[in-house]
Amino acid sequence: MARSVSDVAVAADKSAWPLLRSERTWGPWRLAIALATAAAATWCYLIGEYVGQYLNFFQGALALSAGSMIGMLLVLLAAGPVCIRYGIESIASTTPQFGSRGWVIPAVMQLISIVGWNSLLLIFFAKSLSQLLMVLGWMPAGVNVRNIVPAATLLACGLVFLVLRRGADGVSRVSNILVLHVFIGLWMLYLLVTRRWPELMQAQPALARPDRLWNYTTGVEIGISSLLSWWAYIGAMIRMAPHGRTIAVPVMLGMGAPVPLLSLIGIAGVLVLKSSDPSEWLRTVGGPIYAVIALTFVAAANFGTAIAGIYASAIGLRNFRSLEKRPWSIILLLTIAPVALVGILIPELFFARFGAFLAFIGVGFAPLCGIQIADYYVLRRRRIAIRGIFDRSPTGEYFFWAGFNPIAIASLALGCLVYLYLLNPLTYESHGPYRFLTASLPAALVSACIYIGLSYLFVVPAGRGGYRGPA
Amino acid sequence: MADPLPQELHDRISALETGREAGEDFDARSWVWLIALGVLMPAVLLLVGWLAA
Repeated sequence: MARSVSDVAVAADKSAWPLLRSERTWGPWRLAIALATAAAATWCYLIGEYVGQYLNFFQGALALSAGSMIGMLLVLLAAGPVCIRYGIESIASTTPQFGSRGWVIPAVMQLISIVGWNSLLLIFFAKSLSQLLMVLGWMPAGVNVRNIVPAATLLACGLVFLVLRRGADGVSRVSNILVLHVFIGLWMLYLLVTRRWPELMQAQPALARPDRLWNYTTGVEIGISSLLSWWAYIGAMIRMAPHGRTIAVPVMLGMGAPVPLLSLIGIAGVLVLKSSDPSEWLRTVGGPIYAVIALTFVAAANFGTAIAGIYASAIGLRNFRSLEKRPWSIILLLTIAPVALVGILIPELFFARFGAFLAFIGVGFAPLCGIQIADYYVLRRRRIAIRGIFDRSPTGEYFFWAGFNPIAIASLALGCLVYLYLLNPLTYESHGPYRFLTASLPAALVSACIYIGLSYLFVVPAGRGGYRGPA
Repeated sequence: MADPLPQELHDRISALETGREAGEDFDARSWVWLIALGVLMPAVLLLVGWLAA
């Protein structure tokens, strides 16, 4: 029996295969709403908290906003053009640089980053839900929050599974509802700013260093590096829209702007009330009703982001040939299972230890963006062979050497080393020109330059990577 | 030897290669927005924040 266009579209958005124009039905508003819902989560308060430790409210807001928009631009220029032209997601877009097998490296980065972050978000969701039950007096007697978290995590994972059974349509439908939490967040910011304005203006950041430029640059760097993490998410979302001309503003404003805006809550909270978490300080500012609103907001925000993240991660898994034809439910279970296990078995340990690992994984996204931008705009002059992205045979366009491009791998590694030399993401110990340049921008630039130079020296003369062939 | 492409994937790629089903890259207007929001706006914000300190 012939399948209808909508059936085919639904099936296609659950695969990593390229989407045809007729299947890419998201307009600018739908894309902006889905991206805004994905971007706004608990990490905004954490980002705000970091910035508020080094900068006052005004400077922190401007430095973070500037850094976020720069980071968003890098991500969009890196993965955007190929994803939007061919309806593919972020991982597939790295094949022309890393090779027909080498894409596994960015895939592992994506998987660890998304699964790691979503474990944190769903544990946050579970904690918010538990606190909400407590504030409302619905917590069963004799049960404490620590016991509720695993059950609430399991519930959240079950809900994510149910929503994502509908694929991208599920993401969009939930986003249409949960996007409201962005406005609740702005209301919370309004409350804090209007009620504590004099204190906010006088508050001094606790960890500010004597070097004003270092503090300012750190605010910018936090913005850039935070937004670079969106690389992992962006392809799966923007491939649902058909035109490059309609995604620039929705991505820059829908995904780039909510993070700095909601991070202001964290900056203001940590400066005035020494806590970035609104569910803690809203009770102080407005009493238990406000606490209930804040907890609902936090839970909704994290849930929306987890849905988008797990969807992107599941689509990324589809790039593995062994998973290409498996039922969508199996792919979802494979993606959700690690998150559920973490939330049920080791939530506290994960909270304490895994954040550091995620900080190091995040370091890789700046060089990755630099390499992709250099490859697409400088080396290939926008010529990409879509068949080569999916052809993994030795005669494929992007087979390089045994399916790997060693130049891309070396450039990525060197870019990471440059970043780590300039700034330790855990201790914020810095070296060299960090205070003038940030760490992400030089890491991206160095990777791009090394990639271009070595490609011209070795890859292009060897006739590998499809740089000479027609596309 | 690697497996050949599945027929449906092959058909999709063929449709994209004709250009008929492909999406569009950023146009001139998109570039204006990208530069305005990703370069000029951050530059202005940074300048204002630094001078106001």
